Amino acid sequence: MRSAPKLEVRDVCMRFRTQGAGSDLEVLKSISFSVYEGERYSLVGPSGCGKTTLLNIIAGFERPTAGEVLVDGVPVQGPAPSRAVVFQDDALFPWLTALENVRFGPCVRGRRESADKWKELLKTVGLEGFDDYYPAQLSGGMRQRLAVARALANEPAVLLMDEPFGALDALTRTQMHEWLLELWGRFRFTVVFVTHDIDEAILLSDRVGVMAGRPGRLVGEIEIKLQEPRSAGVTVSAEFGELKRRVLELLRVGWPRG
Amino acid sequence: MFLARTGSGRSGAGRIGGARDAVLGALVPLGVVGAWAFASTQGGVLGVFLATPGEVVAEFVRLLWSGELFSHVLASLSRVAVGLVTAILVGVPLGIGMGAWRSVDVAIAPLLDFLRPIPIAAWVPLTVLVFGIGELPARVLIFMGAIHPIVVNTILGVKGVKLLHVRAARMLGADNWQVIRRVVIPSALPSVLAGIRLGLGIAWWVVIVAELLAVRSGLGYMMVQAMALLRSDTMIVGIFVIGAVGLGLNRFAILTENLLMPWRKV
Repeated sequence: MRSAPKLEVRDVCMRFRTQGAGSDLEVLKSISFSVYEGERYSLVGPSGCGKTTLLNIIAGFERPTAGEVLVDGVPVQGPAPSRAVVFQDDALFPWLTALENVRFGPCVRGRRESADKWKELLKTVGLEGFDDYYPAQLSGGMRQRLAVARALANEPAVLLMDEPFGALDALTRTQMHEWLLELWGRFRFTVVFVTHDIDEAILLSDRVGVMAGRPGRLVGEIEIKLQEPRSAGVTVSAEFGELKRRVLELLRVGWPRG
Repeated sequence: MFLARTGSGRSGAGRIGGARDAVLGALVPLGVVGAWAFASTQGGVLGVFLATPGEVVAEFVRLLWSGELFSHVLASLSRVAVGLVTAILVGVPLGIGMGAWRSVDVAIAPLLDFLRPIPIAAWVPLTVLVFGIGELPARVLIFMGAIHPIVVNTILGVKGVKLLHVRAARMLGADNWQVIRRVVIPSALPSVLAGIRLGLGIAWWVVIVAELLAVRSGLGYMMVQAMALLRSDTMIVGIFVIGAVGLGLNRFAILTENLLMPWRKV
């Protein structure tokens, strides 16, 4: 038996009222899963399966129609620093420098810490010397690394990542995968990662939750056991191919039925 | 026409193009001055009342030396400052309220929509009647002219705040007040400052009109006095100075914007 989960999603349902259609639109149907301390959990599924809505519910941006989300056993009431989010689109504050973006969380929470600590954090994410740069002066990959640093500055219980590398080119994305794996190796944060990229989900996770759409639901969970520390090279191995086959089977795509 | 602007154009990209543009750009104004010089030396009414360019330059030097010009410019500018600052202090909070809460918008928008198209000149007689002649009516008129672009642009700025930025601030621990101060205000700032710059342009326009009737100092008053004395040289000096100060004010506003929003210069 493992220790108590860090994050627990219990029977979460989400319905949206639709205009004129008569019945409500069921977006999420009783979703339950748990994520444990230091675990990397990915939600993978097709576009429109409700995975971003689910992440927004965990973050506290939206309230579920039924069910609840617990972090360290405490029900989620709204957005709070215990759940930091790295968004799909660039959500950095363009009017703040890299250093000011990273300090934003601790600053609004009244923590007075020296700039050295945040310079160190910027160095950790590979942005040494870019303290005074504005987001517009940074590349796409650098901006997302900065977004991760901003999220980690609050030392959240869970890091939520919503397709954070979706807007990057393929090569930069692979570099970001390597970078995130290395960063996790160093800090071992608990993370929920949402993506529609199966390779990304397998490479970056200890467990993958596979979702299907209409209504959005979990159709299976796959444990990912790969050699640690991981590297992007593993995606061409036979065991990786086998894991991918199992995910595709659950998604019922690219594989003959029966 | 637009093809001409895609090349070296007004940006002054090429050195040769830039010099050629400078010559071309000077031709039309020189032509106008030439026509004016010609007209002012003719006989008849035109020659009697229209000062020559030389007389205007002499009058400009006289007004500058006597300090008269300086005190008039200062009087006009200080009025603009008071009227504009009042318009900012009222207009920005009003715009934030109207942009953030629908009920405030519904309550106030109809009045502003009605007032906006009324030329400020239409208010001059009533303002003088109610407030008398002096600083107050001039300030009121400037306020009424400058507040509209400030309110409209502040509303646009507040409505343009990205939900993503608000959510990011929330998940980082910001409360309502911090979201307003640290997200809504900086997000809306470019639009608000653009509104203030428009308001400044209108204020400069209004102050001259106000000084023609409502107050006894400033560049506008200087020109009314000149009209009574049939001094077209003073009037033309006034026109040039009004134009030059207006350009300077706009440049000042742009510099201030760059200073307040360093992230926009990149």
